[in-house]
Amino acid sequence: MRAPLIIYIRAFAAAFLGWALGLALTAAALHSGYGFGALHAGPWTAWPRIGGPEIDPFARAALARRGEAPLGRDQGLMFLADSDSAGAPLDGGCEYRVSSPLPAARFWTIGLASPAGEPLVNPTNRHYYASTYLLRREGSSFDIAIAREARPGNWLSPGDAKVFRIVLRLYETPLDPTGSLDSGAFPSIVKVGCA
Amino acid sequence: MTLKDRAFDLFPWAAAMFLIAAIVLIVSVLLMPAVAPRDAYARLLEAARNAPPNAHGVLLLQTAGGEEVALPFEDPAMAEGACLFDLSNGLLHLRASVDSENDDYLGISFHGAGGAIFHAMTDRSSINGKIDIIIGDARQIGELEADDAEEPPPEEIRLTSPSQRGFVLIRSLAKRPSDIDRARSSVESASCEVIAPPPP
Repeated sequence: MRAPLIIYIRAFAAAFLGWALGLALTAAALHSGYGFGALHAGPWTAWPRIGGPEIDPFARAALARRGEAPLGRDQGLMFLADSDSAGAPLDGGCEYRVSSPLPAARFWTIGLASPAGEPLVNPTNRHYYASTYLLRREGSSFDIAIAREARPGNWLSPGDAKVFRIVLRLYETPLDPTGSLDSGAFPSIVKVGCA
Repeated sequence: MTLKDRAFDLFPWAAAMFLIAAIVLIVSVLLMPAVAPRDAYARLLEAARNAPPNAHGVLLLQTAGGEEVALPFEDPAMAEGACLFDLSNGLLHLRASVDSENDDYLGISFHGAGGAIFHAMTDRSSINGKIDIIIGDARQIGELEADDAEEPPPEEIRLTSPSQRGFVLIRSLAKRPSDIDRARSSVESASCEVIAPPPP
């Protein structure tokens, strides 16, 4: 007995749609982030497992796909922020203020990057601040202005970028990656205004 | 045919579709490190074609400045160098010295071709200000260990690489932008040497 044509059409449709859905899910899973085990602290997110032997297949695939080489877990932790402390996405046309405190670490750096992780071209040619390179107030607190136009004090410019990420790196930090983080120990990102 | 009958009729096909989607997802994620065309190894290989490594075998990388960078998400505060290795050409011998007087951060990480780390260290784990590491595959390291059965214990650390090809990243922190030259010279003072196997 011959199967009716409708069976073949359905089988083909199921196979094709399943294949397309699988590829779409793969693309979505590898588009941003690094698999499982993300740590959140306010607007900041880190993936401590990518720097060690317990890296999961999704993180492996994401690293290979995007051509990245992470920091080793004992070397440091990279935190990314795509939004301000209120949850609004970072916009190159707005001005932000990143304010202390920072978690304990031997060194830390704060810089800006494009969503794909490239450095941003900016008129000042300054790309980062570090625990060793920063103007501090009395009592060692600080803030860093992020704005296109010049600001007094610590100032980073996203240049002409429309969207950007803030990258915080803690080198040799005693933070426990298995526990949850105290977001009060991480810098806040407050939107001051938009052009 | 009621709507309910129709839903029952389509259910196995929908289930088949989700099953296929799950298989495609798992297979493509597992295959990605092997097939990704622009992984970190490929990017560094391309960078090495444009600007060859220095005399010690270290490829100096650009991390900031608006020029095309070799790897994404690298810290602009770091001076960086890479040593690519292909263990089928022999073992890789990495040597670096640490400037302990200035408390400068030096990070050395060992990656497979896909970028995943198999070992990482910082200047804090140097021995008498020196870092001395030999990388090989399981067979090469096994042969090395068989060779020095009765000799005094070796001074270098031996690492077994999970893959034949990979790279070592050397990162040196410039504590302020004016220190970048000192950080670069710290990276340049490292050396990567291929120890070719003796001819059979």
